[in-house]
Amino acid sequence: MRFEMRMNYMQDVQLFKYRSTAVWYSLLILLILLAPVMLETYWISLLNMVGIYIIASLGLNLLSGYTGQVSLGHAALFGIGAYSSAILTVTLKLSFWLALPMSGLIAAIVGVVIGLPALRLKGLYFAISTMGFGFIVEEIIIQWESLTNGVNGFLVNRPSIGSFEFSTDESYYYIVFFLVIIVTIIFQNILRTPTGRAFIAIRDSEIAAESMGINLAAFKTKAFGISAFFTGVSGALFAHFMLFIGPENFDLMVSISFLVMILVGGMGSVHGSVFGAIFVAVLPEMISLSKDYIPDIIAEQAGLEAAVYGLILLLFIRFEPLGLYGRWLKIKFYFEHFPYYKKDTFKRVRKFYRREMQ
Amino acid sequence: MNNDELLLIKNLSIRFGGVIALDHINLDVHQGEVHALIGPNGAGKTTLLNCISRIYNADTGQVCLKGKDIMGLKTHLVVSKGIARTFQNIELFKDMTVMDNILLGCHFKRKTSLFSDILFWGKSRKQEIKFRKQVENIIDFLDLQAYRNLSINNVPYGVQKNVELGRALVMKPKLLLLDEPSSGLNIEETQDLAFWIEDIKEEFGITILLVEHDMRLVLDVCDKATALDYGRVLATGTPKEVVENPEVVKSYLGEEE
Amino acid sequence: MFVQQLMNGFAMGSIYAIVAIGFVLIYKSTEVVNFAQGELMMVGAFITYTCVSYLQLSFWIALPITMIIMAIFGSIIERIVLRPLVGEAAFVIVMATIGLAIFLRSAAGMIWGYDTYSFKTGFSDVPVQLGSYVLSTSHISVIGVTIILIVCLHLFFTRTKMGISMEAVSQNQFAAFLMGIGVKKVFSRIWAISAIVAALGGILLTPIQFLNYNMGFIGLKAFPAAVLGGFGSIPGAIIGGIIIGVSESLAGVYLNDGFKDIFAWLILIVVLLIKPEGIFGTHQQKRV
Repeated sequence: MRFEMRMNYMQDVQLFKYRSTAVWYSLLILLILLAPVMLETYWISLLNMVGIYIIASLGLNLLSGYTGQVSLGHAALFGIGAYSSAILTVTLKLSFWLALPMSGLIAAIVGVVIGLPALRLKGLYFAISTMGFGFIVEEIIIQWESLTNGVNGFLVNRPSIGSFEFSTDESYYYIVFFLVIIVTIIFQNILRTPTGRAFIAIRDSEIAAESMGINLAAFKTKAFGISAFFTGVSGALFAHFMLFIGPENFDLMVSISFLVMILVGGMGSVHGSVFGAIFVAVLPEMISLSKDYIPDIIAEQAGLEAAVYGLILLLFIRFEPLGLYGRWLKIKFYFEHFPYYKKDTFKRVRKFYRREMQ
Repeated sequence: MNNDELLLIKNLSIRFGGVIALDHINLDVHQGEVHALIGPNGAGKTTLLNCISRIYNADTGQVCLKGKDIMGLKTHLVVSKGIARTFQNIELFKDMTVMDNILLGCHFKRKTSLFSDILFWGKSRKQEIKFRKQVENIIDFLDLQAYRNLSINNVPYGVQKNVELGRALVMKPKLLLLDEPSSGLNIEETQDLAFWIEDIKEEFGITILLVEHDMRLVLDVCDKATALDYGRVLATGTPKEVVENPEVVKSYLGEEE
Repeated sequence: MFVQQLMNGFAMGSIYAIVAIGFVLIYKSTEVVNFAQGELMMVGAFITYTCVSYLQLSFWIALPITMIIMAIFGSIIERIVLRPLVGEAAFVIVMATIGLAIFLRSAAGMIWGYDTYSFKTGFSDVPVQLGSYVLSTSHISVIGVTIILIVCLHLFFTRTKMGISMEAVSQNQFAAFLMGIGVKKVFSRIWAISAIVAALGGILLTPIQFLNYNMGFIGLKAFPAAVLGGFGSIPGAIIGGIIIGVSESLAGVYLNDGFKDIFAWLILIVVLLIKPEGIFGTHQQKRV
């Protein structure tokens, strides 16, 4: 069994609970830095997508997992970030390094403008309005051809510093993961300060939060703004990675895949966002790889990936609603408290009365 | 109005559709007092608390805190005026730990901006530590040490009520509104509550307005009492006077046949 | 031309209304937002297609067969997907229905293929002439069936014991359970009824928009319809659906391309901004 000895307040607040955790994370960072050297390009390309998804997933988790405002339209913010960066770098010839934060900012501004009226709505209505927002933005991308090239798509370049261009996936990888590490630290910081706690308070009880002095409208908008900013940034990274974007990259299914990331990974946790992003990025590859082992009649199907996707979503909800991170915690708990494992520690408290307001 | 008056309610009325929940209520609570609000269910006691803490918008009347009318105040600004409360049905943040719940009581005192929170440097760190010290004092006061890092979901009902009380106390309010603090508590826990209320009054100098059904508790710790029925004030005075008032007895027990 | 578009709008609106009704039925009793309603519509239509085209059955025999199969299908879905999730957070249940929708869509594609299909409904093909306007029978049948459906449902919910018990369940499942109402049975029946209603919508839609595994997306427009009418209100769902259908149709004529597709969502946003309760909804405040 592991014991915690609390000797000063800093221990409560710091990032790593035990010294050993800090060691493990340092090892992880080392591995991340060495990956391009150790792995083939195929895997590095995949890791690039993983990194991009991690940032988007962290963004969505802040709004939906922590603050409890579920958004079905985050692909729209992802797309706004992607197209902003594309237009800024290609049409307006700005440098990538300027365009990246600006794309985040543009997405954040749109997010706040939409969010201000929308966040007055109760959970379900808010979710539906974000879905509508997603459809509308998708259509705008298609129709505003002078700006976005409509259905023909938009060609984008890789960034460069001076004469060095980040044209290989390996080099781009470093940009992506540098940002992933920074964004992760930012999110961990937000969550151990009053701002983060306020977000969670809003999720758990709006009335109590207000009675604690939390201005609901201001904080919900803050959450939306921060979430939109980082989702926009990840969209920009996506655009410059894929080198080509079109409206089909930002439809309802993409919004849903973001939600799947945080659900399967674990809502309301940074680890959850990471696990979920890895899962969703890697799933199509796993399905392709396993096609050799299943009967042809199923493997040949075009819709196999989607079917598996839906099935996995259902299975996770049924058997592991806390997500991959939840399962990880349960396993860790088992080993930490061995042999005094308490099976019901993670048992969910269920509510049987009507929760939603009309 | 004299300097002793902390809370003055004048002619407060509110209706929900056709139901008049509060009918021209007049009430005053003095500094340092422990004042009970009693009355049968549906009398409007919780509604009154909700009007004071601005969760409801009363239709007419005034609520004056230290002489200043707070009727137009937005709900989230009530704390900054020094009013803290607990809820009848426990509105805790169920997925957070006891510690985090009470830490939220410190929220309105934060002086850091979002930006400095993101970087978590100097000022933010110092503030976090300061908040945690304050929370530890409350945890000591209410004997919550054993539950500090447990999620509210896993904590017994009596402890949840204490956590809510702690969350209100850490705000260092001038006026504390307690909505049925002893409901669901057994005799031992109710006695603990009685001691704590006395301590809160003496050590922290906080004025308390509580809604209660437990008459023994009311007679034990309260200085004044007001009885409500059907949204109107029936009687006000010392607890003994009010409890023995025939109108009040009638409202609870009904007429003699 | 205008009247023609109006009729088209009415017909599409009736379909939206039908999907919205099925959707609201489930929401009213179980607080579940069923994102798979459109997919149920698609599956129902496919079953009828199979009966008519593969099994060479007459439409009028295929219809009741479809309804029975869909009723069973709806109950099964409720039993294995939704029942285990009773009491979970609303978001989780929504994601479950989304997962179901994705799965049904791809499963349908795998079973029936990705082409567009059609079948002849039992109504004759000959268009009806009313003065100078030509109405297709498919449009008339849609409107007619919708009216019959509304009447049947109204009678069911106001005159039968089951309707009242469903109302009780919608307020507080646990309490209803303690009162001896077979809550599980109510859930089962509601899903069965919803599935049948969805199937009807799909069958009526096929002659107009043809059958394809993506048909479920049209079902998403039930959301603006339900919100416009007032979430949880069946008459609201109907009126909401008709308004959306007609507005969409007129938008397609008088506004730019692309507006038609998103007009429903624009209406949704406007409604949510001005009067989120919709036409018939009520505003409830949480009691503390």
